[in-house]
Amino acid sequence: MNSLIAALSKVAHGWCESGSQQSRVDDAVRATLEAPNQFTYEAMAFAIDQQMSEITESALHEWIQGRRPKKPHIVGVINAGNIPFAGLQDLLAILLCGHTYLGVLSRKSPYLLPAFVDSIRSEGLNLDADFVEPDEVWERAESVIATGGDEAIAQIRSLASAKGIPSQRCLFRSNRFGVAILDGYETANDWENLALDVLLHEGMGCRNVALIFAPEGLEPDDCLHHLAKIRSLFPPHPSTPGRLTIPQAYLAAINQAHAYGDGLEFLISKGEPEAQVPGHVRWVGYKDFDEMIVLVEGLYKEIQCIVARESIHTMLPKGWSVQPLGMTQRPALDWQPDGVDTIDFLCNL
Amino acid sequence: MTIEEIETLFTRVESAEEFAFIEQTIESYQRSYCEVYRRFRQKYLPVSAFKHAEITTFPVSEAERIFLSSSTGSDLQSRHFVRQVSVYEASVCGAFEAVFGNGSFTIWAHLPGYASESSLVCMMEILMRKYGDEGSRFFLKNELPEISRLSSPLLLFGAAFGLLNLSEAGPWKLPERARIVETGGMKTYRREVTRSELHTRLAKGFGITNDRVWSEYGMCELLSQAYAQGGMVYVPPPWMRVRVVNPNDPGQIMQEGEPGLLAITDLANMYTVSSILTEDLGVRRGKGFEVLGRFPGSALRGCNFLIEDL
Repeated sequence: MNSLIAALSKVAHGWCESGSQQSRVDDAVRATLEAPNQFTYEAMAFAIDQQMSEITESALHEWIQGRRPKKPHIVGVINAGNIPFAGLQDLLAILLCGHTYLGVLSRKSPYLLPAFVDSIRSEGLNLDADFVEPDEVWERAESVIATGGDEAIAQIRSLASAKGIPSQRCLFRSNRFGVAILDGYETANDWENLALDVLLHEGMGCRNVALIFAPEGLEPDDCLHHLAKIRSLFPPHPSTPGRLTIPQAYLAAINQAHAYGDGLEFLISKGEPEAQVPGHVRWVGYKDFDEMIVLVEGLYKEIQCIVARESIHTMLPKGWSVQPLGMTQRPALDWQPDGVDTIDFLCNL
Repeated sequence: MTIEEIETLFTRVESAEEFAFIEQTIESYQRSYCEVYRRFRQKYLPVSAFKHAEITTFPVSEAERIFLSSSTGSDLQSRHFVRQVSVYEASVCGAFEAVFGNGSFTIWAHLPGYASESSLVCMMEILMRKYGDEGSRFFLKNELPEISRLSSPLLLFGAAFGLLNLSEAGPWKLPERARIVETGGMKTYRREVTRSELHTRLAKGFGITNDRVWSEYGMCELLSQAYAQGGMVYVPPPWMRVRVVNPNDPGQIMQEGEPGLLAITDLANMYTVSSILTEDLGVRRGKGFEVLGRFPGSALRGCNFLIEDL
């Protein structure tokens, strides 16, 4: 275990900018940008740097806390490809628990995870990790991890059941989104962080902010300004304006208040708390905190994370896990998708 | 060609050229008289427009009927203002006769939870009146009407999960020639089974073979329906065109077998808007299409294996 942790930390360091793994990283990035996804070079660089910076020896030990499963299993993972390095946490968790990893790669992002595994192997470690076709997962896996909408999960649940994998050995996560709560005292730095929460990875992540709750009377001008500013650091993927064309035309047709960036690089609209397509954020007004809390509670099962200025965290319900603005795309190693501790799940198989 | 002429002949469309001509005429009419569509400037109007605006080419006070979508409490309901029920009837009957013939049948409709304003209830009223025998009826309880005295082939219509509940209240043994027609899911339920599983369970629960479980695809916002005659592939009637488009770029039509959003042009919607972008994910299969599941725009966030090959 300690040798694995040391190797992971070393490899992660090498994956950071100008590290020892640079040529391998460059190759993986180049190939990934050619895949059918909405990744941009800038967002990929951000994701790689952020995720790798989390993988330190101390963070890995703190995450695992000495937990081990009673016996090793073969764990199949149906990997998502919506953002760069989706599925890295599952890979690390499975390896650290001593299970065998069988990953199905998304055709949107089939290069990053294998390149990372190759890097670990180049440190002389013999990893129980393979990337396989879906059929092989259903033939060999004793346990399954997957994320998706209701219908997708129904399909996977059906396959798992047909292959005799009991439900307690399946970890199915649903599609979710992030929300931001504003109180009207946001600084320029806060607005910039919020813009990152909305637009990084073109809004495709399950943690990206889809709804902004703002006190009535607060207009989204600052938000618009910083969304535009962030677009100069993280230019849009060429597909984003196309995705926003119909929503924008629709908002215009039904006279719903909205604004958008030059060339439809982003879209913001006022209205009901309903998540829209990635790149389109909904601005939801609230009269007071009580009303906002009721609105958020009503959506809680769909929410992956909540961000707000740190000074208002204590004013929000204690049961909510609230993070500072700007943290949606900087998840810690031990974050719990859908509120489930992946290590606990893997240790109780 | 005038809109009044189209009213009388749209179900007789035969060729792609005829369809295109009528489509163009209707679209021009709708751009002239439907304010929302005139401002929209794109082809396929998102289906949610029926929730947020009055989508009509005529004063709503002139509507002969208003169809409302099923509601899940706080959700807004779609409203479809039907200028002439006769247009709906022509579409319903044309689609039905093309797949079932002209009867007569014993038509049972199991629609618990459906309000009288539902388009599905109206469709069943029409079908029972036109093709049903004296044993045809609506029923709400989780119990089948008397099976032994049927005088004509049985067609059991119902929403998918209502039928599933009914099947589990059995076991039932429907006559060999009976057909079940599931009309899709109910939004008040989470869909926890695949359609293929659903059909297998319905067939088993009602004591018939899988090929006797048929499906209907329709919605409050459309006046036409497509049927799947056993299996998963729906075939639209000639006056309804279903395209599969890229959710990230609805202007791009997907290839056969590639998943995308269903974009539908329904000529029967002549007095509202005919070209609708649904929130259903599907794939084109020959002259028909398969429905993979619900796919609102927000579903592009996070991961969705339905738009990848699993």
